[in-house]
Amino acid sequence: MQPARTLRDAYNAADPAVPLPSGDPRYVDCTDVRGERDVVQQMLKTITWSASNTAQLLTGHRGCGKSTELLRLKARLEEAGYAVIYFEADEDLDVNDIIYSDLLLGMARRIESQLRQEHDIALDPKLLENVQHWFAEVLYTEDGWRQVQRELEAEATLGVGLPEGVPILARLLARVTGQIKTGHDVREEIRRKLDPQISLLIENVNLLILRATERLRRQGRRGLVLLIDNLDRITLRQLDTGRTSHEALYVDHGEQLRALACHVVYTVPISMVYSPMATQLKAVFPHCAVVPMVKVARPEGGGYAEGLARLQEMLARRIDLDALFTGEAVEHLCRTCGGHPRDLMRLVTYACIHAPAERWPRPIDLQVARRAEAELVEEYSRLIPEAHYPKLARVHLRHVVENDADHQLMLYNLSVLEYLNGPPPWHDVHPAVRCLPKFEEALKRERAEMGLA
Amino acid sequence: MSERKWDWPDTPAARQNLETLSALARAIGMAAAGRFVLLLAKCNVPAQQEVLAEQLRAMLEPLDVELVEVDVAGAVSDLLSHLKAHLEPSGRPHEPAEAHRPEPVEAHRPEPVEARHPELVEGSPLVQLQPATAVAEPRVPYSAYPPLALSVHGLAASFRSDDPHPPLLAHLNLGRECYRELGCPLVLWLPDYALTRLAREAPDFWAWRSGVFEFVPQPEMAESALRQVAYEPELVTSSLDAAAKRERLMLLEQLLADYRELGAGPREQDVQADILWKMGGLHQDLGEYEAGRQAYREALEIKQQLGDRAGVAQTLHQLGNVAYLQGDYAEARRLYGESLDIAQQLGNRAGLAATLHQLGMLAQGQGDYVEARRLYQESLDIKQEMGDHAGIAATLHQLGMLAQAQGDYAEARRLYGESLDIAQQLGNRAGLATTLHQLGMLAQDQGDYAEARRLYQESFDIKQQLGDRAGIAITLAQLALLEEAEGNLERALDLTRQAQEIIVSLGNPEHIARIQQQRTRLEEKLQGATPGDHHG
Repeated sequence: MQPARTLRDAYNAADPAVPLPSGDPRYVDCTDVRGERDVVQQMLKTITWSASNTAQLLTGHRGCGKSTELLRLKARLEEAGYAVIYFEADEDLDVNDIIYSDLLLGMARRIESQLRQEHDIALDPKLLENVQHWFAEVLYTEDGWRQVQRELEAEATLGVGLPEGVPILARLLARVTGQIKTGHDVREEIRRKLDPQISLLIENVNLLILRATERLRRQGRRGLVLLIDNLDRITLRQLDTGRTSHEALYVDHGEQLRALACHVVYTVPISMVYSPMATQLKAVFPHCAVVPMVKVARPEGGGYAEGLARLQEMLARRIDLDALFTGEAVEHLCRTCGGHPRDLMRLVTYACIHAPAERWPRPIDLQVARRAEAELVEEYSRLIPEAHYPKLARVHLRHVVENDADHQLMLYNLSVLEYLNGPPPWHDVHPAVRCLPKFEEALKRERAEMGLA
Repeated sequence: MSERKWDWPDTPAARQNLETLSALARAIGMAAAGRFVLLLAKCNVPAQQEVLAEQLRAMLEPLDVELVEVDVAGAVSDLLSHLKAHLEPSGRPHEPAEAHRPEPVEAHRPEPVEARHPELVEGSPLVQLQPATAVAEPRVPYSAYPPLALSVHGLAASFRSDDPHPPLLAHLNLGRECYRELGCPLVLWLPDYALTRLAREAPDFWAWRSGVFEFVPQPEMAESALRQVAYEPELVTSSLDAAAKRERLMLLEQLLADYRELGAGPREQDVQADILWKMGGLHQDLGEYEAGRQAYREALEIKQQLGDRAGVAQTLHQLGNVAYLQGDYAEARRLYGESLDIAQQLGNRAGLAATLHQLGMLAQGQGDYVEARRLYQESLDIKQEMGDHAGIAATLHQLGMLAQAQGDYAEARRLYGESLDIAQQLGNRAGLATTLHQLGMLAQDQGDYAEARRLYQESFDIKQQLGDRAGIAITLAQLALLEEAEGNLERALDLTRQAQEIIVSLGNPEHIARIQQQRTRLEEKLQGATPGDHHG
């Protein structure tokens, strides 16, 4: 792919809505400028060096490149001889209303279908039938199951939905997860019936996994890894139990999520890691990898040239910078994005929209870059509730976040970003937010209170 | 573009908007074929949105991009299906489209949409999205053939400010990947508050934006919208159907946002108070008393700041009405008293008459018929002097109720009849419904149950159209008593329960207690626990 040389091509090359697939030539390794640790390396080691199965969490800001890193991990694991099942939780499940048994069911379905389709492993029909019987017994009455079975068999003969020759269990799992996803009336019923049987559900799923692993080993593979992306998109809701939807899934039912007989990586919202339940979460999932922002500044002040250079490289893989940007414009945009790749792409998009088309070369100069920045600043002002400003000022001065709801929201809406220079991580306010007059006022007050000039 | 002559006012706001509009046109025009681009446009007033979209269409014409406008009427939760349905014209056989053509071909110029989008019709894999299918089919973008852009209007109805969790927001946030299927620029027009909610409550969707285009209010457009909705005669507004009232409320809210942006000059302030006043009245008519109180309070604050004493008196009167409807009679009396004092000082006869009427209602509620009659008479005299026909009808209605309560049915019928005639002449549907209900009660009192039922039904139908929840509850409760009198106890209890549900939500403690009594009595009667119990 040639780097874009026109404003139009640059505008399309900087789409904020498209993650990079693994192996894409536009990928820039930002490991060293994100922090000392490579999250992919870290997660890979946890899996390859462990004698037993592991369950890890991956977190990071919205748009920081989590999916890109997860796809890289997939490629590395495959190189290392693992069979990998990667899927996006929101494709199969209703992330607006999800509980742990939904997730386990969704995983069971993916394990069966992707092994069959991508790894060409058809599991022993006897085993599939046993598992299918178990599901039938738990979920249906005898008459009900006969009806469902007839429908599934009819589907199979008509070739509806899944292709021919697919085991009935696959059809059953597709049906049940489909009903759960679409919020079908029977969703609650399925959940109610599965809840007391959860350890048996896990046992049955593990039967599938163990048999599959045996087969994989015979093919020379080292094992099975499940990567579950977009699970961090589950809606944050207050439940009747007093817990949030995030706490209920990751903390209250963390043990169940850990109980599968293979390696698993779950994505988790960054705000969960800074919630009042952070300690409990850590107890259940000791391995939590964070994809931090690319550093564009140092906590003690001053720019971080290597980070800025890497962001510039990210752009250069997409766009012919010399043709379209002045040097100071590029640098300004890289600083303003706070090391957040998606905001960088967005700033470039805005710059392309506002660049004077008649000027050539380098239509995007500092003035255009400032205009793009002003738009991003305006957008952040919409996101921030009045009450956050004093707290944002404190984060900026102290570089730490507290484990409370407001700070959770700041991390969630990207007004506060996380950086890493070796542990522990440090935090700062998004540069666009720092331009807001309300932030400046709050900062002045906070400085005065601290006795600073 | 430069040779086109816009009929566009030459004001700073208009010039700024034109510049923003050009940026929006560029953001659409630069999009590669088949690419989904999310563009958000902030504009408060629908009339202005229409004008801007029209200009946008003209700007896109020379770029050969067709702007397809979609007006979403009413609340939607699944916008994508709505857009797909809009993009699917009549059935044409599905042809495998040259789906992933990389670049637009300049020679290919607009044909009818359906000709350029054969993949949009029935039978396309897009139409039968199978969530349960594990094998992902390659997605065919909707606008496989450029160039097309979608411009979506009317979304404010899906972001009602009083809805804590609009389903559309959850849908957008979780379903954002699916929107990529549209494969073309998507412009969502939203009023200011809706855009803020989108940013905060659908952060994943918001994260995909490629531009936010904020249009500033243009005073000349706001003015014309203002004349249409804020200064409509009271009677016309209160006679609107429930749905029209909701829509009106939304328009007023958007208009209010415009005037808030237009600044804090006395004229803009005054307009804001008027808009709030109108909103308060609509909330009150719809039985949303707290929202009504909130709007009147804000209006009162502005009127006080402006030193508009007549406005203050009027607003205090309205606040009194809300308190009265909520059953807080002491507070209502206090507010009416304050309003009356100012009206007297200013010599505002109309205000005086209105408040006297309300004080009469308070006296009547306490059973002080002599005082009530005196106050009504005083109010009536002023109204007759001023030729305030709507007011006359209302007071005659109240006098009719007094006569009825005292058993003078002939007099009551005469007064109701007179009130009814005026309401009909004025097209005052709310007044009509109220008086029909009273006539029904009169018929019931005189044992003509068939006539009573007919009148209640007529009253009920009108109230339902108007969205008058308080009125609906009263008529349901009354119908229940009619059923009881006819011996249909189960039906009576059922109607009472329906009325109770509404009455509880309206929150007047006296009414709640009364309907609970009615319910308990009917339940006991049904169980035969207290046979032959007295009835109210």
